Amino acid sequence: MDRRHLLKLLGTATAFAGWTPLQLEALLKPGGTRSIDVAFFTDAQREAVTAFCDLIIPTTDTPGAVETGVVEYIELMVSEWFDDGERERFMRGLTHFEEHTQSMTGTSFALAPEVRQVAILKGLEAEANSLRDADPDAEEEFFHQARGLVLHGYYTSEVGMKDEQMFIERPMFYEGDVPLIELIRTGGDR
Amino acid sequence: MGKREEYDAIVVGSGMSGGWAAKEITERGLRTIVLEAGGLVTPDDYVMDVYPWDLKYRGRRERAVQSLQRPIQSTCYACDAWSEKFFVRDDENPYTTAEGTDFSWIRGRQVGGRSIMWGRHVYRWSDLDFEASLKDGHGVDWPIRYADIEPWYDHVERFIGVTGQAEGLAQLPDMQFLPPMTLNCQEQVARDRLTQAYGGERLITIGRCAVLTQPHNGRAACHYCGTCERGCSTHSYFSSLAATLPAVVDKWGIPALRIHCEWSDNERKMLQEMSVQAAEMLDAVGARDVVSFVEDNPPGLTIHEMGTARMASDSETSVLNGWNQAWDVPNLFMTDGACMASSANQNPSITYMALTARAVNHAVDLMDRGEL
Ligand SMILES: Cc1cc2nc3c(=O)[nH]c(=O)nc-3n(C[C@H](O)[C@H](O)[C@H](O)COP(=O)(O)OP(=O)(O)OC[C@H]3O[C@@H](n4cnc5c(N)ncnc54)[C@H](O)[C@@H]3O)c2cc1C
Ligand code: SF4
Repeated sequence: MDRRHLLKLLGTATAFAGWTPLQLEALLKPGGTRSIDVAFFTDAQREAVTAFCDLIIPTTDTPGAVETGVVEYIELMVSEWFDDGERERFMRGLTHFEEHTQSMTGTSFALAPEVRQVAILKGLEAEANSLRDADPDAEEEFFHQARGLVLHGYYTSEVGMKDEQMFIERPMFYEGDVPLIELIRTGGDR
Repeated sequence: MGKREEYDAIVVGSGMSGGWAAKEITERGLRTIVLEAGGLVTPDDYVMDVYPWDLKYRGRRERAVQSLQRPIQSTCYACDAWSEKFFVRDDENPYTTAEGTDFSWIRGRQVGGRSIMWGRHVYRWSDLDFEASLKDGHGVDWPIRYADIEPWYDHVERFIGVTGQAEGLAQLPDMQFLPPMTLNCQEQVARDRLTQAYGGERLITIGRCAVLTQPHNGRAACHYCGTCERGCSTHSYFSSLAATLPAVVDKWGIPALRIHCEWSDNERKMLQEMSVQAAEMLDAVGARDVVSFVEDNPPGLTIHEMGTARMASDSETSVLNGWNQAWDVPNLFMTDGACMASSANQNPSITYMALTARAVNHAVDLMDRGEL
């Protein structure tokens, strides 16, 4: 995003209310690298992201997204790995997400009752899906960005790969045609 | 300056072709040096055992660095956070293309060349391919036929180890096969249905790969970790490093190329037709909601670059004779893809290897007879 575009947005919208100087600086400095040692999200933003993660992959009898470090992973990816456009979209989406929750529930997403949280996410998902269906080439909406990060973060974590998937230690094997029931019984060991 | 060394043969490059040249020449007892522009690859460079959670962005590459260092290489499917070090840095290895054209030149600069991260698929050419340019009237006729290269395919395959299923097909001659990997249950159903739908005229067969399904020539069988582009510490797929190289290394610099290459109408039409045929076959095996598409990739991205110093039986229309020997410089043999008089749908490296082994043995025969 270029400086002029950003200033125009700043002048015309309240989209950046509540952003930290670091976040604004990140937008103003295309390609500038940020150290991950510095927190990128505000506490409120991190709480919202944490609650989001917890609903997408909750803790059950196995660890959920929050316990496997997905929140930290999202903060890293948004602050460092995302390009300027993606980062802007994510942060604007997050702001909108919080404002929307406030207007619907009178409280933050993290503090809203679970039924309301689920309803809000469902609404967001439907909206994002219909935008994507209307234009498959359109840039990813906040909901899809955030959910994608949760899934990628979780299933590339050690717990996500080893406990949640049929992870087979090396040496592995290949048999093209094995009855599924046999695999399930042996947990992939042959 | 140290002591002056003399060699009977100089091999330039230690990739797929250079590795074979070095192996064949040294086996014939010649003093050989391999000149290699890239550095050594050590077992520590193999990263098949590194998991996503060990990497900062969990296997996603740092994009700012990538767009600076490998904007072209990173368009290759195999160039990821693990394997990118096996691909050249574009900023350090520039080339230009003719105006208005594009060419994705995917390269590896290290001992072993691109045999380190190749896709390992190997298919013989047949006379359908060696006669194609003659029949189509494109370019020049190949100076060789299948019979000339067949024993060299045998020779190379016995050494490298190839898994696949013998099918007796005219267009994809059977190879010296190790046991095939099995088709999975869906593929078996698709194979049966396709055979039926096309009355045996079309066939699904398991991929033919330079991967060991059993121990072979001192190399271990594959253990199916599936991340071959990152290197294979058990040497279960063929690479120069694992199999052919006696390993001598040197450094060299080269002038930058200007590449002229464009798709023609013919290629575009073939692409369209492939997409139609693929959709028809999926339909015939019972697939539903088939979506067909054509990817418009720039030339080069398939990494099967061929030609520029083609072989033919006539020095007027070619650079090399039918033994890969330069018409103008009799002691120069070019055995990589540059020699190809036409391309085919098969992945080409097994043919480069067979041509290399054939050319080297011919050259040494000439030397033995005092004719070179
Ligand atoms: C991701 C990927 C997948 C592929 N999949 C397949 C496949 O499935 N099947 C298939 O048949 N082919 C495949 N290929 C193509 C295959 O790798 C090449 O066809 C093959 O490696 C070409 O062999 P070569 O010896 O000509 O070149 P390379 O293997 O590229 O070797 C060239 C060597 O020369 C060195 N060199 C370059 N310049 C100089 C110089 N001036 N002086 C000294 N040394 C120099 C380089 O460092 C390198 O080591 C794939 C390639 C890639 C990258
Ligand atoms: S050849 Fe087999 S063992 Fe080697 S990297 Fe590939 S899958 Fe793993």
